[in-house]
Amino acid sequence: MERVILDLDRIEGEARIIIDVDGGFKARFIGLDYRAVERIMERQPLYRLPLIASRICGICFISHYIASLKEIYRLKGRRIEDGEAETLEYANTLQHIVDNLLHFFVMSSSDVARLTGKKDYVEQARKKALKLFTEWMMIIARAFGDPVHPMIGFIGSVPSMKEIRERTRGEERRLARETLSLTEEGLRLAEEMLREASSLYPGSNYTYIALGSRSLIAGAPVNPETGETIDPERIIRERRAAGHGYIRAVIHDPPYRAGPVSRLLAAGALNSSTLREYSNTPLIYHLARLLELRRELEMLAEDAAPEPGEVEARGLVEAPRGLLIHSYTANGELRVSVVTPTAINTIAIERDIENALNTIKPRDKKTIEEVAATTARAYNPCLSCAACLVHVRR
Amino acid sequence: MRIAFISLSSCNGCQVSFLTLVPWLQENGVEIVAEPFIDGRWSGERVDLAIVEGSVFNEEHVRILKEVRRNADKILALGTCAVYGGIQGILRLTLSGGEAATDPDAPRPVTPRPVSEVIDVDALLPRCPPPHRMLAGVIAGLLGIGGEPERLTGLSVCSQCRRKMKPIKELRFRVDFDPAEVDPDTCFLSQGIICLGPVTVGGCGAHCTGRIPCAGCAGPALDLVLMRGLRPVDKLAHVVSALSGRSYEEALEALEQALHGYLAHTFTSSSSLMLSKPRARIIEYVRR
Repeated sequence: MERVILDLDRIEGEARIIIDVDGGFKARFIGLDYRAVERIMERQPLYRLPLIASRICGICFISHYIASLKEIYRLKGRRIEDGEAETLEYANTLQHIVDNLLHFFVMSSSDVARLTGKKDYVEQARKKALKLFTEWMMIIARAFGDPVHPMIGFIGSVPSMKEIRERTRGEERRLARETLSLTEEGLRLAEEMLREASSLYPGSNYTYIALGSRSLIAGAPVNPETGETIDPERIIRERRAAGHGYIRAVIHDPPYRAGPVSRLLAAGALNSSTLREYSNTPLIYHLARLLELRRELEMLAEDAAPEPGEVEARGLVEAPRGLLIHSYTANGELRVSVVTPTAINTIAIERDIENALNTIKPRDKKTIEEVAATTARAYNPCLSCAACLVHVRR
Repeated sequence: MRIAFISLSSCNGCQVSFLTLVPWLQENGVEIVAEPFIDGRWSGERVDLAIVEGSVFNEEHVRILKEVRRNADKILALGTCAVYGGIQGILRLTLSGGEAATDPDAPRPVTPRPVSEVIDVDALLPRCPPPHRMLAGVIAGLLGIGGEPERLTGLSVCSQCRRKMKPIKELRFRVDFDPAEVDPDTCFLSQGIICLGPVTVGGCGAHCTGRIPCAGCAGPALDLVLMRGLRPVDKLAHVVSALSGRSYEEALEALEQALHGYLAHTFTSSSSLMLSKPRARIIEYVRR
């Protein structure tokens, strides 16, 4: 056996993992979708950009919408008012809730069942999660008109939280309480998964990156371990268009890790020694995702609207999967750059697949595929987002 | 009753919309044999209904669709990508397959196109995505488990828009706008801002047009589908002519001037239906 090619399933979009087996495992993570969304956006009037941006992804549509809208505020030299920021933070919080529910309890359920051995329990949790997911999507529909690709508003027409509360009639409070009990079950499963498997799925060294605030829409990118501020333009320059199919992966040494683990580090809710205790495993992403979900649900259950504070007009948000950058320039012609969390995480995903395979040393194709898929899915990769951004020769 | 969901090149938003129906379908005894987020990929089992989202971009998509046609009694092309090619349909206008091939380990690209241009389908449900109640009705109708299937509607987005149409005073149009300068209760077109509401199929609820002009994500209105010679800009010109009292030719000229350089029909540009329309200026706009 020289090579294993796995078309990854239970993710958003299409990805392939190519593993060279002989002489130590080497992995390549490639995106198969090509949707050229940056170029499409460059042919649009500004008001359409958030709308098109939300079509990059059918799961984190709100995060793309908000990143795009924030960047248009910057282009127009407009300030994001406190009331608008509050609504945008609330909308992104809803986005995180539905994505975290879907990813852990549905898309990763086969990994959770395999690593904990609790197949029936996980299956029951999945059914509950799907029902709750549906109810949360209806909350989004009530608040913003549609469950998928909702209308969050434009400059000067973002609805106030008072309007939103009238539309949802406080339903999210009840639903948050119901979802909390499932989240506690999920946390127990995630902790068990870590105890059982973290040493088999070790990580290595990373440059963690997240917006340096407790808000999901405010702040500038930082490395939470060092406190160093990271210029988003540098991340845009660090993209490379070769070797990962249609993903323009962000190349940095040590590789970046974006997402819930980085956010918890930035918020001081997780520390580096805990990460080392669990051998920097990518499986800790599941635990981090559920810890965030619990915090967000507790906040909504107590009817406490998220308060982002001062939000700078700039296309930066924390999408559920991690830091998302929309950067536009309009000197005559509009130029659009979108950096997604999956593009930021691509190299870390590859490295972690190699780490796990070289630790477990599986000999059969099925086990190689399982280990690689479990590792990649821990990051909740989204190829609809990441694989549409390569610029090709005209 | 057995359903499979198949996902091609898309944002997966239609699939997310379908997911919200899964508990309801299961309560009605429908077996979902493949749903990519839940079970992974469809592996060729016989099904009563295959629902396909997304558009075709590579050889693998073509192979899957042919296999779906052989193994599904009925096929629903779901969403604007599957029906008209979606936003990524722009690739049909700007790239040949060879230009887009960047990785030898990825499937070879083919001419991007909607599902119905590769296989015969039994139902088409555009919109981005269709409202989930509409989707539920169509699925129920196709499976014969009750519900009201969606009927063809001749209504456009304007039929659900809360803004009021008013006379157009001056034939001067623009594609972008400053929200501070528009009246929130008056039709965008009446204020000289191009809105695709009149040329876009209705039923979406017109959630956007309270704040921004319609971008046409639902796909063309029925008259544009039925009349091959009618372009979206022609129909807009008729509306503008009626609202301004000026001739159709004058209205058309003003609209075409404003649209120059923009991709107006962002969501449908790879469909043969739209490309076959005469003097398809969308191609010029894209190749500029």
